[in-house]
Amino acid sequence: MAVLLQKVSNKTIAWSIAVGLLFSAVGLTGLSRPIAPDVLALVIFYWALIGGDVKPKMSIVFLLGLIVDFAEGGAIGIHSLKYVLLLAVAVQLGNRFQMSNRLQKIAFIVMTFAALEAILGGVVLMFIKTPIDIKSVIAAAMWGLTWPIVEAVLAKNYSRIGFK
Amino acid sequence: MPIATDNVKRSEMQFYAKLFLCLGLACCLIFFDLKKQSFSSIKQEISHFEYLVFDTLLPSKDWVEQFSSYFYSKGKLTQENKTLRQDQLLKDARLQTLASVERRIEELQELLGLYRRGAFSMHAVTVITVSDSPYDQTIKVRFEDGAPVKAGDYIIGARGLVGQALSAEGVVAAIRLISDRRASVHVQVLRTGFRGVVFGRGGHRSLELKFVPEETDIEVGDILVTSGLGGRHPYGIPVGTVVSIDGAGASSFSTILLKPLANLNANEDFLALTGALGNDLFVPDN
Repeated sequence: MAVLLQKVSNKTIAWSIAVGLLFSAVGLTGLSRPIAPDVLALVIFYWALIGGDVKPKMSIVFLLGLIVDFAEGGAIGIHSLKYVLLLAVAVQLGNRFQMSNRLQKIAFIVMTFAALEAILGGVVLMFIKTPIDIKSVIAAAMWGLTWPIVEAVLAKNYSRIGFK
Repeated sequence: MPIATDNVKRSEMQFYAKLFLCLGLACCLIFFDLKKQSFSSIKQEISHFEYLVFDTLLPSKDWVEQFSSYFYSKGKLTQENKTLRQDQLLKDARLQTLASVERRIEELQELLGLYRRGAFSMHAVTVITVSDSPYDQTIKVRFEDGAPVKAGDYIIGARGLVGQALSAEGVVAAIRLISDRRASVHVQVLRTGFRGVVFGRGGHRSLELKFVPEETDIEVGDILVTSGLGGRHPYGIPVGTVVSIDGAGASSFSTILLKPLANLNANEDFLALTGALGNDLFVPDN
C-alpha cells in the first residue's frame, strides 16, 4: 500500500530554528519584549508536532532556551522550561493534533501558548513576588493565531514530496 | 511482541526521565538566577558583547535606514507629484472658465458701448440654439420679456451686422445670419461709396459681393457697410472686409469675397435694432 510520507531534512529544521532563534533573541523592532512573538517557540512547536522522527531533541531545545534567556537578559531557564514543556505537549498530543481540523488546531495552539505563558508567570511568581503579566499571556495567545502562516512558511516546498 | 512493548515502555521512561531532568534543571536555573543572582556577571558580559556587536553593525544599520528613507521619500514625492498634477488639471479647467468669462465680459462691454453710442432703440438678445445643418445658417435668440423684437429686425454684434430676425414668438426669435445662402444685404464700400449686394455663401467666415463690374474701384481690405437703401436697416453697420478679388472670367463681373466683421459663430450676446431707422447709428472704428 502506498503511504504518503513527509520528508523533512535536518538541514531545513536547523535553518528554520536558526532564524527563529535570531528573531527570539534579538526581538522585533517596535515591539516590547512582553508582547513580542516568540518565533523560536512557534518553530520548535511546529517541528515537534509535524517532524515525526526528526523532531528536535530535548537537550537541544533546552540549550536553545538558555541561549534565548542569555541573549534576552531575562530570567535564566524560563525559555528552556517553556520549550521543554512545548516539546512534551507536542509528544503527548501530536497524533491527535494531526487528526484535527484547521480550526481545532489553531484553538489548540492558542490555548497551549496562553496556558504556557501563565504557567511560566506562575513559576516566576514562586521565586519573586511579581504579578503575572496578563498582557504577555494575551500576546502569546494572539501570536498563536499566526499558526497558519507558520505552517505555510515552514511546510512550503518540502512537505509531501514523494510517495513510497 | 512483549519485547516491542518493553522497548516502547523503555523509550517512554527515557523520555519522561529526560523531561523531568530538564524541567528540574530549568527550575534550578530560574531559582539561582532570580533568588541568588548567580548569573549576573555572565549576563553583564553578554550585554557588553551585544553592545559591541551592535556598535560594529551600526554603520550598516545607518545605510539600511538611509536606503529605506530614500524609497520612502521617493514614494512620498511620487504621491505629491500625482496630487499636484490633479490640482494643476483642476486649476487649468478653472482658468479656462475664467478666460471664457473674461471674453464674455469684454464682448458685453463692447455691446454696452455700442448701445450708449447708438440713437437707435436696442435690446439685448442671447443665443440659445444654433442650427445643426451646415446648409442652414440660423440661430435662435432669447430676449427680454416685453422687448419689441419682431420679424425683420436686424441683429448686430459689437463689430458689425449679424443677421435678421425671421420670426419672433414669446421671448424667442429665429435669426438668419448674413452668411446664410438665402441672406442678402445692401452694402456700400466705405472708401468709394460704391453700392452693391452681399450674399451669404453658407459658411460662417465667408460672404460674397455679387454683380460688381470688373472696372469697379474696389480693393482688398475695403470695408463694406450697410447702405440703408430699401428702408430695412440703417446706414453704416459694418458688414465685412474684402479678402479677395477675382477678375472677370466668362462673365463681366468680378468675384469678390468678404470676411464678416462680426463673430457670427463665436459670440453669445447681440443687440436687436428695434426702433425707427436713421442714418446715425454707426461710425465704424476705421
